[in-house]
Formats: sequence, C-alpha cells, structure tokens
Amino acid sequence: MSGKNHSRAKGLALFFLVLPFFLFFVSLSVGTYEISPRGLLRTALSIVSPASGQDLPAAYRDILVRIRLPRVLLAMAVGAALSVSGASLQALFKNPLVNEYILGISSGAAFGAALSLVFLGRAFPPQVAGFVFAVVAVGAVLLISGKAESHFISLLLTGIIVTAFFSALLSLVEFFASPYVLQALFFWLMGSLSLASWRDLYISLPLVAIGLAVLYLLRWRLNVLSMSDEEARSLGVNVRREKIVVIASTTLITAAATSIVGIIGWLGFIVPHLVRMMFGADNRRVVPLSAAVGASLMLIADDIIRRVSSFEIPVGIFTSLVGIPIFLFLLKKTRKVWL
Amino acid sequence: MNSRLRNRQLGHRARRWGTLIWVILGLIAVLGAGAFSLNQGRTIQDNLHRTVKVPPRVDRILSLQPEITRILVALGVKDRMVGVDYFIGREDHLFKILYPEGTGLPVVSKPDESMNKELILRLAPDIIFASPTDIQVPDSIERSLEIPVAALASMGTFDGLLEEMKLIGTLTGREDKARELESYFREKIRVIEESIGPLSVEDRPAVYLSFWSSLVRTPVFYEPVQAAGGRNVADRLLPSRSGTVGTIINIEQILKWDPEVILVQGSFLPVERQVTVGEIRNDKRLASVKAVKTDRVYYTLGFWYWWDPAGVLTETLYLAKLFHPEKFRGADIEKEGNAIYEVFYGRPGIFTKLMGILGFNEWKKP
Repeated sequence: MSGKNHSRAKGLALFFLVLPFFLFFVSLSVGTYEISPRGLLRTALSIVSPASGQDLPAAYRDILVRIRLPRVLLAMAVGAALSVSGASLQALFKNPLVNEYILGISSGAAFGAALSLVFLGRAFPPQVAGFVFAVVAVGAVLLISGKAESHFISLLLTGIIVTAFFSALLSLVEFFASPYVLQALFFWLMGSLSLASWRDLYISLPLVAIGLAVLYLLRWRLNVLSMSDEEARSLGVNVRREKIVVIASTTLITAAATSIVGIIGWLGFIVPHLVRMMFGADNRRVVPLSAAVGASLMLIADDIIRRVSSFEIPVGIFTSLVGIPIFLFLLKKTRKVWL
Repeated sequence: MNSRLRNRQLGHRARRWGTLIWVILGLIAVLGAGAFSLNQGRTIQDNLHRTVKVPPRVDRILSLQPEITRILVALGVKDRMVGVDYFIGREDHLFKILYPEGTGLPVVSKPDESMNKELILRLAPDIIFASPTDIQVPDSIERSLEIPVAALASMGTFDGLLEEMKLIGTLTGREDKARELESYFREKIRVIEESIGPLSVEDRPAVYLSFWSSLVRTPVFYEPVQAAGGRNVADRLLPSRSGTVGTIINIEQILKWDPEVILVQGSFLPVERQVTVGEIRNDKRLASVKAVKTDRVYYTLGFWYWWDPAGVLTETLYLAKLFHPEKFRGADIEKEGNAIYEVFYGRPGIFTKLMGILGFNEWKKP
C-alpha cells in the first residue's frame, strides 16, 4: 500500500470508528415526537440539573431517557454484537459464507423464548430462556461434533441438524400455545427494537460488552486461527482452547442480542465483508471496524424506520436494504472477497 | 299377418318411441339447463377483492373464520357446520357455551394456520369461509380442492359485520333471521348514539387501543370506539398489511398522541394476557401520558379472531359508559349484555357466564 493510500485508509478507518458516536447523537434527535435540537439539549441538561428544565414538557424527558436512549444503545449493542460475531466466526472457520447463526443460536433462542412464553407466562422474561437455549444449542453443536470441531464441514452439518431439531421443538411448543401467546411469539420473532427498555439493556449490555471485549483482545489471534491448524500450532497457539474461547464469546454476544431483539438476519454476514473489502482481512482492524460499522448500520436502519414509516417495520429488513446495496457496490468495485 | 306388414308396424312403433325418447331427452336437456342455471348461484367480492362463485344455498359449511362461525350459530344453522377451525375448536370460550357439541366437530386447521386438505375434502363442504388475514389460504384451498372459498371479515366496521350476516342469511335461507338481527343491532347502536348526542371532536376522548398481545399493536379502525363517542388516535394510519386492520407503532407515537383513555384487549384469560392494565399504569415510559396520569387505562373486549356480534354490541355500550359516564349512569352493562346475547343466541345468562370465564371485572367498574 502506498503512503497516500495508507493514510487515506487510516482516515477512512477513523471515520468509521467515529461514525457510531456521531450517529448516536443524530439518532437521539430522530423520532415520531418532534423535539427541537434546543429542546433535546435542554432536556439532557435537565437530567444533570433538574431545576433548569422545569418549563419543558414532561414527555421530553421520558422520550429522551426512557424511550430513545435505551433504543439507540440497544441498536448499537446489537449491531456491534452480530457483526463482530459474524467476523470472528468467518475467520475461525476460514469460510466467508458463515454467519452468526450458523451454530443454531437463532433456533435455540426462538425455542427458549417460546417455551418461556407458553409455559412460564409473563412473570418470567422470555429473553432469559431465549439466551439459555441459544447457549444450549451451541453447546449441543460442539458436544455432538466433539473433537471434530476443527473440521468446518462437520461443525456446519451439526449446526444444521441442531437448528432443524430446535425448529421442530419450536413447532411443537407452538402447537400447545394459545393463540394469544402465539401472537406475542410471532411479534418477538420478527425482530424489533420498538419495545426497547432499560430492563433489556441491563440484561444484554453487560454480556455483549464482555463478549466484545474478549473478541477484541483475541483479534490478533483470529489472524493466526484463520491459518491452517498446523501453522497456528507451530506459532505456539493452543488452537483448541482459542477456538472454544472465540465460539463461547460469539455465542454469548449473539445470544444476548438475539434474545432481546429477535432474529435480525444478514448483519453478521454483510458487515464483516464490507469491512474486509475496504480495509483488508487483518482481524486486528476487522474486529473493531465491524463493531463500528455494524452499530452504525443498525442505527441508520432504525433511524429510517422511525423517520419514514408511520408503523414499525422489522429492523432486519432495513439492515438488509441498506447493507446489501453497499455490499454489491463494493463487490463490483473491488472485485474480490477477502477472508 | 305377413312379415312385411309386421315389419312396417314395428318400424312405425320404433319411430314413435324414437320421437318420444327425443322429446324426453329434449325436455331433460331444457330442464337440466334450467336446473343448471338455477344452480349457478351468484358471485360475491370478498375482503381480499377476490370474485367468488357461491352456490345459491349451502347445506354443508366449513367455517375457518370464528366471526362467521358465531354468525352461523346466531342464525340457527349451526347443524350445517361440518368442521371448525383450530381457534373455535380449542380456544373460543363463547363457542363452548353456545354449542358444546360443536367442539367435537372435526378441526381442519392447526395453530400455525396450515390446513388439513384431505380432511376438508372428506367433509365435502359446499362452501368454505376463511379469514382475509390468511392471504394465501383461500386461493390455495380453492385451487387444490375446487371448493369455493370466501375470505370475509367485518374489518372493524359494523356495516362489514352486518353485510356478512346478510350474506350468510341468504346462503343458508335464513334471510329473515339475519334481517331481524340486523334491525336489532342497528336499533341498539342508534339508541347509544342518541344517548350520547352530537359531539365535537374535543368532546370525544382520544383513545389508544393496545391489541393483539402487544403494547404497540393497534387497530387503525375500530367502530365501537367511534360509536361510543370516542376517537381512535390511530384512525389515520394504514394497516401494516392487506387483509388486516392492525398496525405496529412505536412507544414514542403513544406519547405524541397523548391519549386520554388506553384500552387493552382483554378477551383472554387473565393468565394469557401479555399486556396488562397494571403494567401500563406502572410503565415509566408512559408516565406523562394523560390516560396513565388520570388512571384511565381499562380492559375492553376487542377482537377475538374478529368479532362476536353480541359481544361487540355489548362492548359499544360499555365503552359509551366509559367515555361518557354522565349519560349512561343507569346502564347496567351486565343486564344489557345478557339481554343482547339472548337475542342473538337464544339463551339467558350467556354474558355473565362469559365474563366469569374471562375475568372481565372491568365491565362492572364504571
């Protein structure tokens, strides 16, 4: 890379790393309820100094603090979690077709949420069971594929089988569900940020933060793990242990995100590819940039939903609508897919 | 008699018979054609804008649409039902009261709304009624089984409900009963509206409806609110898809509307309610909403796989009393409800029984 190109890439990387913070503030000003930028600023100040915003409508504070802030933070956390999860798994399995749901997480989470809604009722948050069964699904995949987890095909096949198994269990639970519980379940499965609350963040944010931190610290090892196992071993890496840590971390963040907002497809596939097309396959850059681009894409998609439509459209539709054209544009421009 | 004469006589006889046979065949053809044209029935436009050829009279009916099933019971033709859908067969508390034997009818659909087509074929219905919410179901059944399927629903309007009732009355030869129930329904609504009197927009409380097991799912049209002197805040929105009257909004939108009354769908057993009045009252995100501040959050019946004609009439009266208590001070909802249910279903005490099952304590509060 020439010096000019290098500095341009650095500038672009910096732009993408800063972008989610910029979008964070933009997203706080987007919504159905019109609040002027001055009103927003004063509302924010009134949180620190309550006396300063006494003339503001009471709804401003509720909208900013209880509705927009948790929604925006959740969008960022979910976008970052799914994208980093996809990037890490693609590197680990040395396969660009892998996505964050390949190990049965989505069907496990859906089954857990359904089970909770149907048999435990409203007293028990469905997100908890969703998370637990997402982890159970991945555990089953790893256990069944056993020592063969180093072989991608074996793991992939086991993932498909476990996904099918949990899908069948989901159908069975649906059979016993009352229509009213089914309505709630289908709404959850659509994937939406519309009901985001601080309670959701209390559950998901710490888990996502821990998983992201681990994957960030392991980012250089992902470069080694994306080589052949023999090469990785020769460089002194405990391949089996490192793989388990990566899989556990991706499971943690994907399950935490999925159990809160439902299944949002394509993000973990598109974002890592976008990042690699722009910045190359070095995971030291891919991991943090996937987090930043994923969070940004999710925020943009959610802002579009909140701005253009009078009703809530599942956010997964817009992440695809925004992400896929960019992906195709870059694919056509660069004519290569990095791994 | 020589053989030539015999042959001639036989020839004459054969010609006479031949002529007679042709006349009979001709008559059969003419009568057959007449009968065929009589059996042509008529065409109707269903709620999915499909043109459906329906037979003039139907003796074997398969209703996959609970609202129509209830109308069939109200019109007194429940014995013509050859099967029921999953919801009516397993979940509808009213149907269990109205027609307990009916719960033993073959159930042709599953919770995921897929159909057992072999069973439908075996039941050989003359017509199938489906809900317009299941967009692919009518065409799929009609194509594969060649049985007319009409996708009908009230779509949240009284006229839609009464049109449905008239059509079913015509098809089942119960036009008089349908007319009688329609007149009763319209008269009841007229009395409610007259009691409320003329209202300006400001006199109508702004009402938000939380339906379908979610705080953010709401009907874009719900006539009982309008007829009861309220104003549905979501009235100007479009449904999120064809064949439904529902849409999904965000919580911020509720704050923007700032409704004076919030109604939660309560046609479920208390244990099945995914959204409760208590939750909404304690939801800090909604703390600034007028309805929450003034504690005007209530259950209402709402859709339960579309309507029950007696239920929606009682609900309208209940809402009128809720919105304008000063004008309905003497109205005893339970007594009125029982009277309405008796007109539709011919038995006393149904409403009280239904309330007991569904835990509708709200009806007694205003």
